[in-house]
Amino acid sequence: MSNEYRLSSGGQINRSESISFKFNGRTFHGYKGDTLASALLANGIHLVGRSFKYHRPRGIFSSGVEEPNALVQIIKDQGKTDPNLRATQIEIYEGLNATSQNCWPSVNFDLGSINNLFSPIIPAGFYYKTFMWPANLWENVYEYFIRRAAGLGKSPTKKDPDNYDHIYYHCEVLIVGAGPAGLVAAKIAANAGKKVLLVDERPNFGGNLNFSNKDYNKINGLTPLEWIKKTCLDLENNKNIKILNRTSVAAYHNYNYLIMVQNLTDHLADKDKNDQIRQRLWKVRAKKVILATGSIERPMIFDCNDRPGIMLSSAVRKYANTYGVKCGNNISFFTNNDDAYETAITLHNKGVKINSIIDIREKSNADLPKKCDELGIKIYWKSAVIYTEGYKKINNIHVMSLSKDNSSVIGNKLKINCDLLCVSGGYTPAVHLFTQSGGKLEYNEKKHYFFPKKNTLYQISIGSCNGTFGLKNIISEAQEKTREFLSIKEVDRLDVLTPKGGDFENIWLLPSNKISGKTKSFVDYQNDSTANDIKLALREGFKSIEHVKRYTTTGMATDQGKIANMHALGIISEITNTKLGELGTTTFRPPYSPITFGALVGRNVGKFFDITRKTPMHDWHEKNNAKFEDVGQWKRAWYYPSDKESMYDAVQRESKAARTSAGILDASTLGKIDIQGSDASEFLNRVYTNAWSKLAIGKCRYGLMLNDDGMVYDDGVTTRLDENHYIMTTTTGGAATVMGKLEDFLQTEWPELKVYLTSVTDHFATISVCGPHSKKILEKVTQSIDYSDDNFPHMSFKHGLIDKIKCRVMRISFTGELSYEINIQANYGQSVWEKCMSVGREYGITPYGTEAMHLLRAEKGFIIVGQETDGTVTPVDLQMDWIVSKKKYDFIGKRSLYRSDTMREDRKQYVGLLTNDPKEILEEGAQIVAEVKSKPPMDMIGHVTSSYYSPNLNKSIALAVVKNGKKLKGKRLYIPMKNKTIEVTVSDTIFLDKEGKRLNA
Amino acid sequence: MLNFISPITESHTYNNFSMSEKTPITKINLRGDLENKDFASKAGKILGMILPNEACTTSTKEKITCMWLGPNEWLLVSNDTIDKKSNNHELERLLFKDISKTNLGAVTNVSDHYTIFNLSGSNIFEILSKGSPFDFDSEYFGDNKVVQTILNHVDVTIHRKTKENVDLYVRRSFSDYLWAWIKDSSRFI
Repeated sequence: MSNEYRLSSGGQINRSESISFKFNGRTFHGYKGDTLASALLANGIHLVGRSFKYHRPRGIFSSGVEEPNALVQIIKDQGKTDPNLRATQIEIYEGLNATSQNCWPSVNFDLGSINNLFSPIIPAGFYYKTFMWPANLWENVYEYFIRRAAGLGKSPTKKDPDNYDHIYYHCEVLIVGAGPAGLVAAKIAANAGKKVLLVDERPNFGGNLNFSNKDYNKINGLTPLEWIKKTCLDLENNKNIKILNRTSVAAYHNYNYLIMVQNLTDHLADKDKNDQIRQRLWKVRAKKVILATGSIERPMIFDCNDRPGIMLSSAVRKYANTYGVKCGNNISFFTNNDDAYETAITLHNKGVKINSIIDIREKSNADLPKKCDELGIKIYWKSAVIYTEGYKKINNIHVMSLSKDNSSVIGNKLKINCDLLCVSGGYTPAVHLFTQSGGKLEYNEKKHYFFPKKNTLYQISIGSCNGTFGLKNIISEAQEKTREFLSIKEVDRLDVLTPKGGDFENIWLLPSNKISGKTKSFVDYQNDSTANDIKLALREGFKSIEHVKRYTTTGMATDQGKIANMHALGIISEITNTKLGELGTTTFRPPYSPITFGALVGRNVGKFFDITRKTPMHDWHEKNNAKFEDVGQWKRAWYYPSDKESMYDAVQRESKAARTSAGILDASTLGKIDIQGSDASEFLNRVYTNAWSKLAIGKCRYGLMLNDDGMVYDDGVTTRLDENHYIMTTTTGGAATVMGKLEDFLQTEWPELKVYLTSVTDHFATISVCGPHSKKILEKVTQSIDYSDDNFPHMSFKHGLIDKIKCRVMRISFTGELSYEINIQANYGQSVWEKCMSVGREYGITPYGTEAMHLLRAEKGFIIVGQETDGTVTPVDLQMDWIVSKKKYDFIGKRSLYRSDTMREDRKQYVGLLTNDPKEILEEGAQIVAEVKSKPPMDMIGHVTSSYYSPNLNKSIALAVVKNGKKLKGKRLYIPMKNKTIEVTVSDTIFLDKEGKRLNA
Repeated sequence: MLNFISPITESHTYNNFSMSEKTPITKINLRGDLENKDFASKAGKILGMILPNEACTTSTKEKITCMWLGPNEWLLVSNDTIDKKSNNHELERLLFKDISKTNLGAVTNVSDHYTIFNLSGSNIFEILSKGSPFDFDSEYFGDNKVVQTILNHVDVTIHRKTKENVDLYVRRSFSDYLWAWIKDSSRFI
């Protein structure tokens, strides 16, 4: 077979450029400009897939995004594959390799088609009804089979090799759809000097006008193609407009924010892709939006309307005019309007045999039917197709006359031989984007469609998406509405020739000569739901359209019911005797057509998956074999294993060194806020639970910050640099939210306070040196600071210099050890760190990471906000009553501390735990019980928040929150684990140096 | 002597787009109420220029550029690089003494809080649009304008000197990540 269905001339393909591609393993040829569908049809291939449920043979049905049947899988390489692509949209390129989906072993011989025989016993709701019981079969039996049967196509197993990109774009006028209406609007807008963006999902512009019959449609004396070409050329030369083809609007959000996907390389052969972006996601903010999204042709719903060789009439016209392909040699039509006649005339003029037109209408006196009559094409008026024959390809249609009221078929059955049946049930305006944007629809009872009625955005719909049909009407509406919408005075008149149209008559579900249960009239081709399924759902009591949709799965496939929805609604309305306008539609949700995950993610993969923040000493940590921990977005040095040291061993070594010689920690990630202003002290009084006014200049104080609900929110040390100048430190993870919260309070709650906050987190490198030798090290690192305890006691700070560079040194401690913190401008940080290392070498200085830091502070019982607290813990729960001022008028969260619940005595309270076996280390998060039962459930009275083996105490230590914990000191509790129960004793939270001798050493 | 180590160690060029770090530069955050005449005149006197009062505008003198960040917030930036051997900035000292110490406002040194990427080329805003929702084509964003926005989720301040020369301010800790991202973005222009 080689292009035997290709017409000898015509079409917009390049016949000098032949392209070979593979479909289901066989090699075919097409031409540059073909879609996979047109190239297959040129080779006589209609059967391309199997339906989802019954595995019925299905053929190419349409020519665009609405395609329900021709879903294919593109194979790029082993493991790299794209499922569920529509053959009608895939432009062929050299090397394209596509396969059918949902069939095994092949599309021609599919074992799954046995389902078709069982179709009477697998109706709508089959799964709900069948897999109810016994429940224990769910996990191993039902789920396994349902999962195997579910889904279309196969997911790739390898990493996506392509690049994707995002872009934000702003314009004055966005025009969606470059059919005749869109092109007219674009020209008017661009000529008026507006910044215009024109997008269309297809490679070529012009919409359906592209394949209109040139004898019957003319604009200013030009044929459709000539006019499109000229208009596009004019637009391309206008610098006000940006034009994107192969770009589909996926979502239309409020405030004219639209998401669209531009396909850049899918139509290219691999050798031409050059590692460029495959798809780009556009995030567009438009001042005004003009929707010109066109309309979608409807099928006809009758018995066995799903066979390969049954196609939409407009699609057949497009294949003939755009691709030079005849879809059959002996064609019948089934229609309820005049549009099908244009296709018939087009094909007749190209020498293809049109054997019959079956029209449900009484008669039409319009131009095109008359012409068909003249051409000698047999028209069966007031008739309907009631059945089709042919398993893998249609070969006969059965036709009967319609009764006067169209409720039944009468007379003799006529059998007509054909190899293609073109169906045309009229057009449905594509209102998807309009409704996504919040627009409300109204139903036109006469013309049987929903059309855009009301919208609050700066937006209009023009052309057939607005329910306007006929080239002349479309163009004059586009001109007038665009002119008015953009406040333009005058536009050029266009002289449009278009055939005089006739009426349109609609029957949602065509009558049959069989009883209804014996028919298979498909409504949703992709999900295999029939008119009978819808009737069954209604009989079973589903009334809401949304319920019927979900029960029958009508409109829930990848095509989102572009073809199916109107008929489903129509059938429901007829059966329930409800007006369609009252029934409404299901909700149109984004995306309008499927989007790849790649396009959504863009370049935020690999190293760009998440933001990373690095400290000024990051390179040093890396060079010294640090393992990193993610804290917020920071990369923090976690521990520094030497050679083959395990994490446990490294942390034990680091922790020991910090207490016996000296340790050094990178604390640069802590949030730092510079506070200045005459009300700075009062501000801190309101922010923290303790009092600040009397803190002497040069002193530091620890503060707990609560949320409005009285729960601990953040903590840290704040230093009084001057009378009205403080520097606050926050937790690493809380830095941004604390800053935001404090700004919020300043601006909205306390505007009377004269205080300014400036984040300086990144300005300073913070180097913490602790341990018995820390003082000696600091003395050698900094100049001009007297480190004597009298001059520089615990919880105070000094200005200093390190090689002419100004710095601040705080004597504060999170480890409970003698400890100093150097704060210096970040770019000098690494150099100071290295200096500390070289000076400290003789004292055995050891860098320690966050894990050792956690261990060291746990020995001292210091809390970590977010580890000991979880948003439900008050300072009193933490046994930190001493930090809550009773005298202060107010502070954030004060009122909540006096609620009956927060004052309850049996709340979970902060305690220490010691295991009876000092070698036993508890698991963090483990549940604590007072009484062990033989099996769960047991009353859980708390959980372990921190747990370590302390190398300085030579025993296991843990911190926990336990109900009524304050009163349980010395009591025995239990921690049931999977294989054992661990006995613990409640202890004080401070395990080491309760008197604080080390701090003040 | 301490080494001055900036987070960016390379410059980058791709076709006609290039990017380099500007360092060391003095950066001072200034806060205060413009309606307070004492504050406005003190600041004006020290800086030798009137603080810009209109959103997103900048003023430049010989040595210093002043960028509007908010109704009571400005970023003062030295036009030229400074000495690495000292961080004793005369401007900071003067402002601190006359504005912070007198409770007229706040003066905070943020020199190393921000890293400056200088971008040049004909397609800077096309690259920035890949990660920023700001409308760089807006009639309100001409030369010498400044805007605070996000770039691929990172807070940035963008100072448009001309269409083809832009200074981008990013917090130091994010600079390595953002540099790599802009570099990668420039491949696709």
